[in-house]
Amino acid sequence: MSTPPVEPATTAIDSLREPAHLVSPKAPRYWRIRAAITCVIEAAVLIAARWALGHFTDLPHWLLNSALVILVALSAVEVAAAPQIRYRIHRWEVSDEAIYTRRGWISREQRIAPLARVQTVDTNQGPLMRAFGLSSITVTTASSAGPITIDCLDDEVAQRVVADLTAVTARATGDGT
Amino acid sequence: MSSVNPQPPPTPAPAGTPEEPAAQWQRLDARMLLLRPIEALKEIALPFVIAVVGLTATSDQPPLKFVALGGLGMVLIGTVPWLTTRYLVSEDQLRVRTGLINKKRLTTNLDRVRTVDVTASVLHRVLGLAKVEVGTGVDTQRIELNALSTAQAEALARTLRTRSAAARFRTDAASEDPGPADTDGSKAPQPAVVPSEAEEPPADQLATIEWSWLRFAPLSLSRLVVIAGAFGLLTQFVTLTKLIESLRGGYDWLAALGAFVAGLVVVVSLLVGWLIVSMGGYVVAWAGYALTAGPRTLHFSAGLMSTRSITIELGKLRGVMLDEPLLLRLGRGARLTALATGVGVGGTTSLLPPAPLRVCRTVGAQVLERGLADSEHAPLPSVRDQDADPLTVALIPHGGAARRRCHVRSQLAHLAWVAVVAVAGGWFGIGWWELLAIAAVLVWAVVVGELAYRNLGHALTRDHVVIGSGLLTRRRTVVERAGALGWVIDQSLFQRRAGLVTLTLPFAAGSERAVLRDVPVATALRLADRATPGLLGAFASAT
Repeated sequence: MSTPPVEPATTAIDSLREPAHLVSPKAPRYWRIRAAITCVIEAAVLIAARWALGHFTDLPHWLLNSALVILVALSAVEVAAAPQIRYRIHRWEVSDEAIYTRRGWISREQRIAPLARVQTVDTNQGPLMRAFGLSSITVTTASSAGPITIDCLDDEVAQRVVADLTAVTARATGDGT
Repeated sequence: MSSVNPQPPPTPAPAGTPEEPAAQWQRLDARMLLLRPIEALKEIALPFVIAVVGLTATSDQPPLKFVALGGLGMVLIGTVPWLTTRYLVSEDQLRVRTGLINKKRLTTNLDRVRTVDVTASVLHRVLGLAKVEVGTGVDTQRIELNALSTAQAEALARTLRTRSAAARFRTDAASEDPGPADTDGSKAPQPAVVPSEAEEPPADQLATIEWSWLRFAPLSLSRLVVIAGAFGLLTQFVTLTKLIESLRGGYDWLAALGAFVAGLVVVVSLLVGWLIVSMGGYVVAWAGYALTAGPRTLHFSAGLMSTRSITIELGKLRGVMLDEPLLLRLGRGARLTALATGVGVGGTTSLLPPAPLRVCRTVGAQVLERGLADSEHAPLPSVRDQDADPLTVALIPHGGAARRRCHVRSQLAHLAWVAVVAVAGGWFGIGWWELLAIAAVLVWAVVVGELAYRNLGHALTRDHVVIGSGLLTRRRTVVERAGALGWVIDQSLFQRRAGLVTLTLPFAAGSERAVLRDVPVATALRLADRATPGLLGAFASAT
């Protein structure tokens, strides 16, 4: 082992700026509609359960009623408020050396991974996302704790980012562990 | 260079062609004809007996026919693999052919062989056999040869280890210096320093068992699980009513002695039983323990009745974990675990039995040092002022806000106990003992919270990130800086108000993450930035 160079005597970083790019402006609408659909399905299941239980058992109605109220209240927040907040928080950036993302809503999560250690780059697009022309990118390293997801990019942006990342990771040597 | 190669390169002939020298293909040891049926018998014994008993009960036919049928099946279970399995070690490949209907041919280049483990269960040892498992760095793909004679297995393991080291050496040399020898399609001439099979380099002994360590056996509770298992097994055979009857007999006998003496008898007999079981277990698990270091590997072996033998490639070592459970700490003992990619169960394997903290620290330091010397990663720019030993360096505490969160978390976690006591109180009526119990739980929660805070901390040494965690068990996770696969910074709503974050260091071994809780934002970022220079640089906020 050769003697490694010594760290330059600069002060270390003690705060991070936010990542440079926002996700697609179409993302909030997609999140809103996804939350609405989920809410409708869950409410349908609950109402069906309420009907069935009311028919066959004498379980008190207030239990399922309150579940329904809670569900609707949570979904209302998820549909009305969350998407805009999430859109402001979800950000991403790819530098020459690393990929950096921020996500979350009430809690925040920032992830940084060195591109030299990236193992796979995947895109993911559900049917609803396809209708919106959105794609998500997931970048994995050799650790299950390290996958990085960029939600809801415009298709063409996603394609460009994937092409860039793939080119960088193809240059990486070793098995990424 | 040399157009005439004395050793022709191994012809990539498809496996199984008749031109192949048949003498090189070797079989498993014939004694496995006995081993496999007995192993299989162990697995199917219960259903088989049930089937035989069931059939005898329902039909008048003698069970002899079924027993004979079963016996035939057993013989087949042994014979078929013996007849169909062959293996061959060439200069740079290990090939295994197996299977009767689903023929499988496995070919592994020796430079990709990561670990060679020789293990033997009690049954193996009685028959003088051993199992060889070859790992290629990918967890799921282990090639198993079950079973060879002990000598054959040892020889095979030795051959594989030296040849894989030599093959890797050649690959490295070839990739560093693609000489003109490659142009004529022949192999590059072998450098003289390739380790040869005849003279395996001497292995350094890092640790062996010392029987004074037996004192730690009663202090490590992991064996309690085994006892619970044994008890469960016992209830399978003894019917519950009989057990209760015998217990009642014992109870009557104890009741005759009076409360104090009876309590004493119970406590003493439990303690003595625990001493015997834990020490017996320690001996069975750790007799013959030795940890040796070869040129590129660590080799671990232990076990009285069945030997465990594990090889860790130093290049795959990412760090170690030092655990000090509360009880072990009373005797100044600890446990040391290696974190390595593709090793053991989930990338962790014990390096030492429960042993004195001092020994764990010395062995750990040696292991880390050897791991660094053989690291797959280029050395990082070193941290200026930290030349401390990662296993002894004092951890930097996280301050008042972190301490408050430790206490709050502990109180919340123990709230359930208080609720249980309160519910019991509601049931039986609140008495003075219940208030006492609630007070005890609250005090205990304070103790646990304070312990959690004391165990929390971090440090950065020249080559390692050190992360302290744990409640009752003090844990120190040491990860090679070069092994860091980025950073995850989590911040909950409450953490945001307290100016803290949870910093996670992902790496490719063990649980694949080391979590540093409740660290002040600026401290976390400074740690991350210094541990992985350049990674965060582009994202620093302009000040």
